[in-house]
Amino acid sequence: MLGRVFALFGLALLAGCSDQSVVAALRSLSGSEDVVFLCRDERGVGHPYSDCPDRDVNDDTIKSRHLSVMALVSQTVTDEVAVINVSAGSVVDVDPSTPGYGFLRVGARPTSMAVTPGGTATFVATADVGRNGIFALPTSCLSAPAAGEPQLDLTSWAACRLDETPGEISVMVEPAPDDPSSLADGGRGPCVVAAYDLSDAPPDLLDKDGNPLLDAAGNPKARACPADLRTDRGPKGRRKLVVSLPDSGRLAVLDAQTLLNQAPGTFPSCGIEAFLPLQVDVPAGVAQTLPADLSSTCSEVAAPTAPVPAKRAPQPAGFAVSDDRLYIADQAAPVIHVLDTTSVCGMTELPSLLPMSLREPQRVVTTRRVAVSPLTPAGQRFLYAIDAEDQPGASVMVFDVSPGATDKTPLVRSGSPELPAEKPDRLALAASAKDVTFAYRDIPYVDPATGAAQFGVRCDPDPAAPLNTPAVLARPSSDFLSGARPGLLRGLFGFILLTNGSIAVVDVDDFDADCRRPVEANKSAVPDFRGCFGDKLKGDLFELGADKPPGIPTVTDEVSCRVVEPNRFRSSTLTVNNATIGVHAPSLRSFPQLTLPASAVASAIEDRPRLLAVPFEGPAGDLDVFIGSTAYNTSPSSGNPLPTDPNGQGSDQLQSLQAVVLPPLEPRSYAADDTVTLTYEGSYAGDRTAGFLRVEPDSDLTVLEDPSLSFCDAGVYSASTMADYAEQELGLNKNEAASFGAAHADYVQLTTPFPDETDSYWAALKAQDPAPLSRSDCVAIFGDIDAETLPTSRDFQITSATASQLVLEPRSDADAQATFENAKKCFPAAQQYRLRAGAHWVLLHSAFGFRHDVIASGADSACTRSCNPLKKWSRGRVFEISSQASNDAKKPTCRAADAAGTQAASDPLSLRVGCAAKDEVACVYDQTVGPVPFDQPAAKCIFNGLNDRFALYRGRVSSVRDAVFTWQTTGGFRPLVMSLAAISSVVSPQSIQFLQAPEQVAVVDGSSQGLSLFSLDTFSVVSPSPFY
Amino acid sequence: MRRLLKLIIPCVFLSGCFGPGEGVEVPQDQIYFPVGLALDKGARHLFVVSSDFDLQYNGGAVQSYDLNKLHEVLPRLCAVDADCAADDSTKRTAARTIDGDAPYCSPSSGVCTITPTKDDPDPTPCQQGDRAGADRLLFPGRCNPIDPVPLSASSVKIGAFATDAILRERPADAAAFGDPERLFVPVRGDSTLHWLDIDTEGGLSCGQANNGGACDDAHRAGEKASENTRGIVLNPEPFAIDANESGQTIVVTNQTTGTASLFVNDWVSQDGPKLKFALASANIPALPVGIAAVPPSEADKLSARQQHPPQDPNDTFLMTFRNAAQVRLVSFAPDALSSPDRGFLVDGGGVGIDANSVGTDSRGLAVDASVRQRAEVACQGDSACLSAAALIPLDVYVANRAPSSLLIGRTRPPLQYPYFFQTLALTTGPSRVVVGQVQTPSGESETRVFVVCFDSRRIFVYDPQRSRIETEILTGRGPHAVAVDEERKLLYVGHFTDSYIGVYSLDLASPATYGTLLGTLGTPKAPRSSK
Repeated sequence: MLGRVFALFGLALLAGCSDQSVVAALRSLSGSEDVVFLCRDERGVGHPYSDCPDRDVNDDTIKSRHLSVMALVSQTVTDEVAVINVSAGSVVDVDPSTPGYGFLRVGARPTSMAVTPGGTATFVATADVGRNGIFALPTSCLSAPAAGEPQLDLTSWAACRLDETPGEISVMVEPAPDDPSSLADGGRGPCVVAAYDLSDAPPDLLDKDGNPLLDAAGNPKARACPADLRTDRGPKGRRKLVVSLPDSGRLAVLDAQTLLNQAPGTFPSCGIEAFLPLQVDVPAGVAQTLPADLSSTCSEVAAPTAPVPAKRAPQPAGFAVSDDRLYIADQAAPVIHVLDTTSVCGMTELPSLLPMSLREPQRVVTTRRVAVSPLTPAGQRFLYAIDAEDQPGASVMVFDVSPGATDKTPLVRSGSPELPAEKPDRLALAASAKDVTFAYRDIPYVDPATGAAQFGVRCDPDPAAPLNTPAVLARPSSDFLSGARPGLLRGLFGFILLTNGSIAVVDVDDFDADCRRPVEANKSAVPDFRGCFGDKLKGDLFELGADKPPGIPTVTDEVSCRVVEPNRFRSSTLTVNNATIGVHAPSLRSFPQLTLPASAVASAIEDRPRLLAVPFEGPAGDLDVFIGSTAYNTSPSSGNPLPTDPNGQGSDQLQSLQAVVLPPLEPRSYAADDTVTLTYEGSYAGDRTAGFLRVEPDSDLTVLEDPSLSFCDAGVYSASTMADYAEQELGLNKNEAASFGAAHADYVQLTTPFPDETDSYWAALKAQDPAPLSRSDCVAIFGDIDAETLPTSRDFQITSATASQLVLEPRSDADAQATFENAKKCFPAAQQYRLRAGAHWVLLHSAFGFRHDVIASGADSACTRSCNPLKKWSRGRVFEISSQASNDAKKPTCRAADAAGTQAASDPLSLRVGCAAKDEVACVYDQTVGPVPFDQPAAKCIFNGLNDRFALYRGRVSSVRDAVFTWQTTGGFRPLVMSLAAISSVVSPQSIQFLQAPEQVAVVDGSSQGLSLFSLDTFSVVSPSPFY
Repeated sequence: MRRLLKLIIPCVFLSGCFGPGEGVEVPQDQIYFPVGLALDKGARHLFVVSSDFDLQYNGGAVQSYDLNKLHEVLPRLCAVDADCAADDSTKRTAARTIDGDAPYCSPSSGVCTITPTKDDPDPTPCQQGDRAGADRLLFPGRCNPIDPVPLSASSVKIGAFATDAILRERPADAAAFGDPERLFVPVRGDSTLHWLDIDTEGGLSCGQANNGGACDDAHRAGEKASENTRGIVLNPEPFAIDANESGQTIVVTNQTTGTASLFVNDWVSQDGPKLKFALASANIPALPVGIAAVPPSEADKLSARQQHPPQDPNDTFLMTFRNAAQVRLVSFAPDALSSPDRGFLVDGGGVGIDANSVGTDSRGLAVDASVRQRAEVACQGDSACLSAAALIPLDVYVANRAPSSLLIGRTRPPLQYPYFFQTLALTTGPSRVVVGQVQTPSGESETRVFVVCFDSRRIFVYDPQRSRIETEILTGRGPHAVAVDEERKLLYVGHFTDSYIGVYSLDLASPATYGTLLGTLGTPKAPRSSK
């Protein structure tokens, strides 16, 4: 036995000694910044990128037909250019004789790269103090030298020296004239435009007569790394290098072949053929164009004009090229340069685009990176530019650069009032934007009739459209696995690379957008509560067989018509709640719950206030509300009706539960998860600790000041503000409004504790004050802070408010001792306090806080209600709806709470809405008619918010402070995001670009991930990338 | 290296390792694991704080070196031959001369040299001669090390494990009360703030005359609970330090307790700085390792002076942390109206660093007010102009390690919280960031940001005006403390690992030498266990 134990022990030891191979990935890339892609055959000859990837492997034995996608990645730490064979899935070691990966050594700090259209050569701009230049890397030398050939090093490349630091670089094509002889110097003037000919060969390979020199074997001599742009495929014409020179604000034009012809290893001055000084011209008075929903006569909405033109020298940054235009970001001046590049040698600057900010019109907005989209089938083109210094992080501006577009300012999108957290003219997420690109992606549908694939097909949801057409084939399938859906990118999309490694997808022109909507149609030109309008179809539903329900939807039946919006972030999910998909549209986790303070928990359930759902007005106003995974509907006739009638008795649910409607107008306005509270006389600015009470010497008014808080920003409604609300929103006359304001104005609740009994303060007060109070006197008047319910003597109503102070008066008439004089004696230090709503309810979203429309206005910074359309949905105050008392005792329309105790058996409890007070001037109706009818004045008290719609009916017992309804929502908007951080949390993304051929997005990471390729089908990194 | 760590680690956790009179006497003429550099007014002297990191000696040291003498023995930079003419005023020679051969400006190296001959095809520009080729593998630079002893102006012994150094000029209203400048050095070994007065000749004074060459108790603040009314001593592991412009308010971070310790410096009496308060809060992350004062605007100073009685403007500081992606603001509350006044620090809250994917492990921190200060100078005292200038944001730079990057941000006047709008990828181990001025060939001063990457032996030079990294300086091992000498267009770099000061060129008029090592002050010594 012992032997076995030893044997086992020995085995265990042996197992512990066994070799374990540890595989550590060798990271060869460091400080990666820029990338270019090119196509190369096995001979080392470049091809236009459109030739790649090589889809025909049968001819790969022929070297000229074995094509590979190569990526060149600048290495700013080692001053190299890394070579990656993307097709082979490997990093290329160009120096196998040395341990580790060897790359192409170039000058210090490679800043930018560009490749010729035919892939013959790549040019690298380098920027080191006193050693600025451009290096030319022939595609023929992007691999390890063969045996016997010299190693590749700094002297292997043709290069030239620049007198100032280069920025971006681009290879552009100068169209060769049909008849060069008609040009001065035969097209070989200072800026050569003539077509390539023999004279463009490297001079050291020609004899004095211009004939090729021959080697010993009689063959024309050749460079070790040949690069002849005469054979560069792609557009005809001379290849020119356009280099930005940020320090002097110019562009320089160089002839690419001339540079390639420099003797390798030399560093002569670059032969610059032309300079183009950039201009900074900001016309005065240029204003952003506002969409209809932001156009306003509101005086507080400043005209969004460009800032006063500053004397700023241009400092060109990122390039974006499209057809015959070159767009250049400027990191010093508030312009984006636009150049006509029809002729590179004769480039001219067109009127610039004018970056500016709607919310900060005085800020000088500069840009670092730009991207321009291809032309959409609808003839639109957009430019995205990064506002690098926006707060809290860099954001993206959208410019319409479609042919014929005249607006030079950032696009202000419609629908912004429904997205209060969004800047109307910016695309922004939680992290800063680093780079942008566009992807135009089309997935053709085969026309069943002709068998031909059709590109650019827009999904057609019209049930009357002929079947078996490509546009109909694009419709979503019932299981959402094919056709229109969030995961199918078909059209034009923007991609914003964020500094946290995420890549957000932006809808620019989604070909399937028309099929991403509810089935309900709205033929009216006025948008309905789903955001739908102007539908042109025969029936009322986007369904096949709508006349024989259930029909087959031709659309996704998402909850809103705004699920796909041009130039807004794309949703990662269908905005749908159903058994197949799950809960992806805004829905309630459970029915709202009412929680009462301890003092009121004894009240009967039927005496309490009710929170009830309210459908939208009109015959099609009913809608589903998902609670958990169960669909309810506001229609009383539905199978699962939501309670809407305060006296409804159709079921236990209708009698007892609370409910709200989640308006589907703008899905993006919902947080992914949210907790909502609705509190009677709720506190909306937190527990404040720095209030100071004082009496104004001039007016004798008592004011509260708090240097840590702007009362207007907090959303204070004084009596006058509340009166204004009543007049404007509830339609009351001035007298009624004043009465309403006095009844519902906010108040300050002092929560300050008294000094301790042993505190010397009390003795000092006794000695100094002619009418001193003891601590017990104070407790008698104001109640101790640890009392379960603080007495109303601590409440002081706000009669007027400015940003810095509140004017107060005691709220309780009953306690004559509750004066300011006594308050100051009892609370000698800084005041702790809460701001509370007066006799109404406060709605708070955990995701958004307290929504209000108060701003500081005028010279005295008075708190007033804003007229800014962006504040349209800034609502957070809810007023109870009560029932008017009947004069006819036989037909009571409400019953006072105190009658509850005498409830007769004949009382059916059908009148549960509390009575209005005699002086109540608003939110009163006759409850015997059911829910508040839309045509009655009390309907104005239905709360119709961006994310909540309900009516709050008063209970037969008066509401008590801190009674709270609570509900939770889920299914809010989640943007479609790819993430580099899924591979490594420590990333430092540098640049992004779209690869048309494999339809992938390439991201360069400066930290550890090198080059990563993302699939546009799976939205994840494609193996074998990342290459590092 | 393991042996070195074994030596070091126990003492890292052992406060009070330093005890005067115990162990091997620290050689005060040696630079030994330098951690702090500072220049006096006019850059006449360089002050080097040696930390004795491996505890070979019984303490650290502070040395003062005459920079004029140092400049004389450096290779001479040039753009044209005329720059290499003998300069009698400084008695500098460009290089060794042979038989009266006039030195000329070598275009390839940008330094003065003599004409190559057949026998001497590569004449050295080094007065100390060329360094042996083998040595160049570990230690950069062509020239042999410069002996620091002849350049030494003064030296004094301090506690072990100093971490940093700042120097402040005595305010004009206290000029009559002592030496013109004062150096403050946090010391981890005995958890104190050492303070040393500096005379015009670079002499250091901290009571060492009667204390065996070491700073006496009176010059080691934070050690005794009796020096303040709160009965507190300095928390363990004092690390980063900064002070307001006048040097009256000093804040030291304690890198393991998450506290910010306040010292109030008295220029009038001989008491020096005294520990007043330690700010700790559950809201403050545990590992603060960076601190920078936020200079008040001239408008704020004016406003404070106009109060009755005249006040000082509020001093505020930004802090960064190893374990949190945030920058936190603390403010000094002087408590002047109380009796006794017990100044304290107020936690002003923090802002998240969301410009990086992770954003934690922020080491260096620097605030640059030069743009606003230039605007204020142009105002010539006009209060309206100064009020407008006060709204010019300050640039804020953070060396962040997750990922290795330089975070570029700005304050949001009138708020002093920064936001970060740009991140530049760097190599491994960014540890410090320092803002300095360089001179352009046209003689204008321009701001540069120097980001030290300890692990990867590099210093990145960022040009904020052109928003780009201008160059990378390849250093020796363990670059840490740096000081910018605008006057001489030099950068002094304390090489922690090999215990010497590298002198690098910052002369933009000589692009060939920009960022290269001109001289080595002190003989490089590899750590004992790594030999």
